[in-house]
Amino acid sequence: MAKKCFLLKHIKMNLFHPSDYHLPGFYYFTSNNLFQIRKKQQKLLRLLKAQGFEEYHFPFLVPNELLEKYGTVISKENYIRVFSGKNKRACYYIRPQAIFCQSLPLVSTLIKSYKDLPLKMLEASPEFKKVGLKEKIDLLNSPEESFAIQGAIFSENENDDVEKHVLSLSREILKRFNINKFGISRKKFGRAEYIEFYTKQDKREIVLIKLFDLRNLICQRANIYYFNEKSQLIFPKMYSFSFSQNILLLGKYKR
Amino acid sequence: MKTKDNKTNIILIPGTSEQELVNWLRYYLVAGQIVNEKYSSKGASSWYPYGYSIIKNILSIASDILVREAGFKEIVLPSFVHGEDFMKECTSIKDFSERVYWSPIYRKDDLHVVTPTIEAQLGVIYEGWLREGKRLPYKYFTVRAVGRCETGRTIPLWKERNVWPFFEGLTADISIKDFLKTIHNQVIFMKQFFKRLGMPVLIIERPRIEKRLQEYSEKRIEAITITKDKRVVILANIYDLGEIFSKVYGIILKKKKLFPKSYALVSAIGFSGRVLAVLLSMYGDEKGFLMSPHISPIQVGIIPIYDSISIKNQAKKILIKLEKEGISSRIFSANSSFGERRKIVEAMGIPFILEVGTREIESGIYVIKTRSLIEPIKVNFDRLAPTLKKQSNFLNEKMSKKAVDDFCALNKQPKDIKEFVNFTKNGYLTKISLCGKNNCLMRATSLSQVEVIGKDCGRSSKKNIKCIICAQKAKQYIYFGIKWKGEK
Repeated sequence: MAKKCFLLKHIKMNLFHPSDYHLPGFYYFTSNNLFQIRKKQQKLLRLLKAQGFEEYHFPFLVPNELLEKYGTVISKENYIRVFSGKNKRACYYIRPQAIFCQSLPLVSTLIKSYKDLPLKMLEASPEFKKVGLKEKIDLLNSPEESFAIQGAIFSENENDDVEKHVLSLSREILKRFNINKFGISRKKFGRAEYIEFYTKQDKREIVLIKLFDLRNLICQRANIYYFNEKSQLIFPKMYSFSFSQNILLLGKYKR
Repeated sequence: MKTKDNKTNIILIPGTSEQELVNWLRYYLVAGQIVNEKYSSKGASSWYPYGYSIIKNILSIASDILVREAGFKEIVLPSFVHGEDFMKECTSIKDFSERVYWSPIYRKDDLHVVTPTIEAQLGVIYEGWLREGKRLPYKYFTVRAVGRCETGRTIPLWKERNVWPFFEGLTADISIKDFLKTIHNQVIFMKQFFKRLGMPVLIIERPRIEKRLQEYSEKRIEAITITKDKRVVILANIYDLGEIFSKVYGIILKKKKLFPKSYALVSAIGFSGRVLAVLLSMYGDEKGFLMSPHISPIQVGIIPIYDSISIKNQAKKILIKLEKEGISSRIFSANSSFGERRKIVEAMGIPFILEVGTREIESGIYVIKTRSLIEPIKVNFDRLAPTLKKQSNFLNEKMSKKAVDDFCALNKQPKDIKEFVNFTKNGYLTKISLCGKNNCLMRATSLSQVEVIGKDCGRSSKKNIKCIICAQKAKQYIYFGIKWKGEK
């Protein structure tokens, strides 16, 4: 507990602790803390863009139909459901954490041949996770809404180097943000596997990065395909990631 | 020359009718890599990197001016507001609760609203700040996505359900003097912002003849323009909310003993991605968009004519040289035919085009081409950067002049009633002088058969100007015109 307090104190002392909003799990950022966090976010974006990622922007409401493409890979219980005021049955989810499903309709127009791969995209927007009214909610541990950089790499099906590339990129980013003590765990979620970079404080894990290896499962369901050199129809692999707000709060950027 | 959409066989010109303009916009927003409306639900668009960079540039211009001229600060707000707080706002806006998105974040019976308007959120925050003793004035703005459950037709960037970007600000002032100054500064912001974008606009005040308007605000100031199809479009709004929302959210100043409850004076400002849609249509033609060099994230499109190593290397050399001089460029390498790549560059509206072939490499002379407006210019390799900088300013001037000329051509000021009827019948934005009596306004409205757009903002009428209807001394200028379908 003492260490947890120390961490939050450290964030407050660095003047980038956001203000508490009147809904639990939500915060708002004003001038000073916003400036600090934006500066770091820009640096993180620059690092990713240097690796060939391009910045897109997607709608924040994800229709149920789109999320269903993920099937058993994800659990909808973790995401915040939204319906329209007029037709209460229309069901959306608000930008779900880590899986980057909002990109799929556009990706289907961008990938036509193997020449379009790898497609590296990212988006800097808030992401949402359903936490509920747990007692332990604080800025580092499960805010409902947080700054995040989500993204994905769509690569040729035969390409096995994507995971290596993303892992080394993640390590490099954490190193640049002076977060040297971190662990990596491989977790299973439904039929998908994901890798989590975390730092441990006060016997709890503070998530830094999440990497989802979605193989070609999602592209099959979303009907995203390409033709290889032999003109065969192939489904690309999708590898999605999310760099959490905690990197920006805890990290100190070094050149 | 008219371009055709091969899929739909629709002729693409930037529009003599509203539908033509919409078709043109829909086609080139994708071809020009701005946004794509292909999504699993209606009224939502995904932004391509090029379009995203353009809108980011526009938003950064707006933020800079609003901070500098009107003393605003940025705030990033959560995406949810409590249902109860939101419903307080709904007392002033009819049916608003049906046009937003709701969510049971914590419990099924405890509903929250997804990014409705800034008033509901900042109203609650301002009230808290005042209780904590934080001193007024408060001037905050935010840029975010907003959910609007539009049931009618949706047009990308124009009218959407997932509205991004939505730029909105809310101020709270202590005295009427400060409040009027805040509104004045916001008007200055509007003027400077649209001037920087090269968009001629009129700043008008909406007359208080609409019931709906009276419910929501004390006064509404708008930046309007007219599109090529002779339709009036509202680009930005300033709402004088007076005490309406400070009463609703309890933003109370306890400063006077005699008046224990005096309320803060609140105003709101806002615009959306529609600004970009209108900007694109203003300079667009049958080949696509034309971006101003001051806004475009890519100033020069370098097109290698053939797929050869020497040409590729020369293109890279030019790119490095220009980037060093601060001129952003992109190589459109040969993964498709030269004609196709040229079409893409033109559709994107990249201001300058540089073709690289063997002839250019041998002679060392390049031709800087633009989409339109200025003549191509031949230049030596060493003089590329300074010439491009000079041409940028020249193109910018030409574009602004063209926009003003087009705008003036669609604005008319009639001498008599006959001319007035004729101009409004032909769809022009028509300005007439009126005495201020309700009868004359009603007569002008019935004669014109079009809508009252607004009155000239902040300008007192000159002497010796007479009411076009009753010939008595005129007190105000009123604009008449046709708005876009569904425009409120």
